[in-house]
Amino acid sequence: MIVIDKLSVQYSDGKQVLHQVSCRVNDGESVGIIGANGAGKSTLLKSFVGLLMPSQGRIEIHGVEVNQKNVRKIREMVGVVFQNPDDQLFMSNVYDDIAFGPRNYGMTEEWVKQRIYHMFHAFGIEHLEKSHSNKLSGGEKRIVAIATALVMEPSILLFDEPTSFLDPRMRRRLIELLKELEMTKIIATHDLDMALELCDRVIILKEGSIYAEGQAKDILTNETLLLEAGLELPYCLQKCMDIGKV
Amino acid sequence: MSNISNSLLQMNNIENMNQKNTVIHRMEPAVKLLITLMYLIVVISVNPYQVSRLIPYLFYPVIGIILAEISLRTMIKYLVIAMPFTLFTGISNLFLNREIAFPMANVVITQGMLSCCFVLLKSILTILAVVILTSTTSMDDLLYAMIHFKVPIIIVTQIMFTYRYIGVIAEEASIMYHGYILRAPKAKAIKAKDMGPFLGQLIIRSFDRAERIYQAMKCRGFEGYVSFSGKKGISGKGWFYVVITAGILIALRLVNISILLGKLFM
Repeated sequence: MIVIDKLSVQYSDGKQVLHQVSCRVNDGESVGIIGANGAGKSTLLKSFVGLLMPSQGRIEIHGVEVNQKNVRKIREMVGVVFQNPDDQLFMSNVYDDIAFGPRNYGMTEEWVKQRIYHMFHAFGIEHLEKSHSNKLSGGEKRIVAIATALVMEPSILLFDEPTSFLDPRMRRRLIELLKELEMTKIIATHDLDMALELCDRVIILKEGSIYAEGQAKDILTNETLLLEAGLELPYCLQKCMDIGKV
Repeated sequence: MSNISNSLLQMNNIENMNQKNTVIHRMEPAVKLLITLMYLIVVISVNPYQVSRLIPYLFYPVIGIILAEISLRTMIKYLVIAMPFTLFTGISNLFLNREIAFPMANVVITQGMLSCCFVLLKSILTILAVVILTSTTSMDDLLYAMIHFKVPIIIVTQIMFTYRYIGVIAEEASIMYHGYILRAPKAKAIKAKDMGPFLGQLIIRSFDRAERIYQAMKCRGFEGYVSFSGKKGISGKGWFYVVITAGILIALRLVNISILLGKLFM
């Protein structure tokens, strides 16, 4: 379980990005974090893994507080898939990129190899083993980036704009893939259609504070609320309304 | 600046060449690194003006290029990139040192000429050796080999990131350059007046990008150095290659093969 209690985050230039954010995420839940640009979605994700430390308040993950002392333990429990997969893939080939995390955590090479082949098999990317990361397609990069996070068997997975850079077919494949993952998922996204399809619950951030929180189907169908938060109805709902099905 | 994409392509080409499957490519990276280092030390240690003593060392790049199936064109391309600096030094010697060394036929050979040939030949040999090594061994394998030779992990990590960072800067520069040129269709390159802001932005963007990569690394347990586990050192067979090559190199260094051959045929 993730407990966020009156979390405030301030950048080094003094800019307050998150103000008094409090919420809980239960084990196995899929939670969408939505909001206009600059609402604080990415900042909140970074706070979960100690890339940004709270200026006030606290975050607890499975009872462990996120602070400098515990950050290594936290990062072992929480996998992060960044917005741009190019930022996440920096070794010279896919195998070494996926092995990067486990090796840093001192896993045996035998364990690393087994896990990597399991990942290759699970995602159907065996053929990419020796490929250079910079030569993969956008979709392949995204899949490999997810594999780099999943290989550590995290209990929580954070996604920052997972569908950006993807074509429609790859986006669909990714959504199906995310549906199959059973761990807790927190997805910061502008893709409200995906949030509607994937998330049990949605949190709307506005100017660094929680503006609304609730079941995805309630929040994402409330046009007034979404407009107030600088968002709009998911496209699929807009189309349904156009043809009078909602 | 318009060649940024080409530079990126060249980096890719080097990495592509690593993917071949020749005898040299299959050789253990630590063995290749050790042999190259020995070769460089021996070539560099040859006394100035002794051009004839350098010639036998051509055996190494010639054999290397043939066995690694590296095209001559590729080799010449890298030599052309690296040679201008040496060429400048070599040619300067022609004018600075006009002391007569010996006459040959009707031509007077000066110390400057010998020195020029010596500098150029030495450069060609060392550049070829390094190109053979980098064309047949991936950067990661080289780094693992360094770890095997107990090079401090902090230095190896720095080399790794420097190599990666060149790519990051080049990518950012390429994106910015395309953005610039699309809005300045008459410009063939970045104008001098725009160069300042361009470079400033490039540095800021590169730092931002590097910061994001660093954050992604930290999320996967990175704590200042890369864990290089799971790679092998040198096998018995590898040591055999090292000893044989070392023997040949030392023999060439101790015995002047050129003079021996000369005496044999005269």
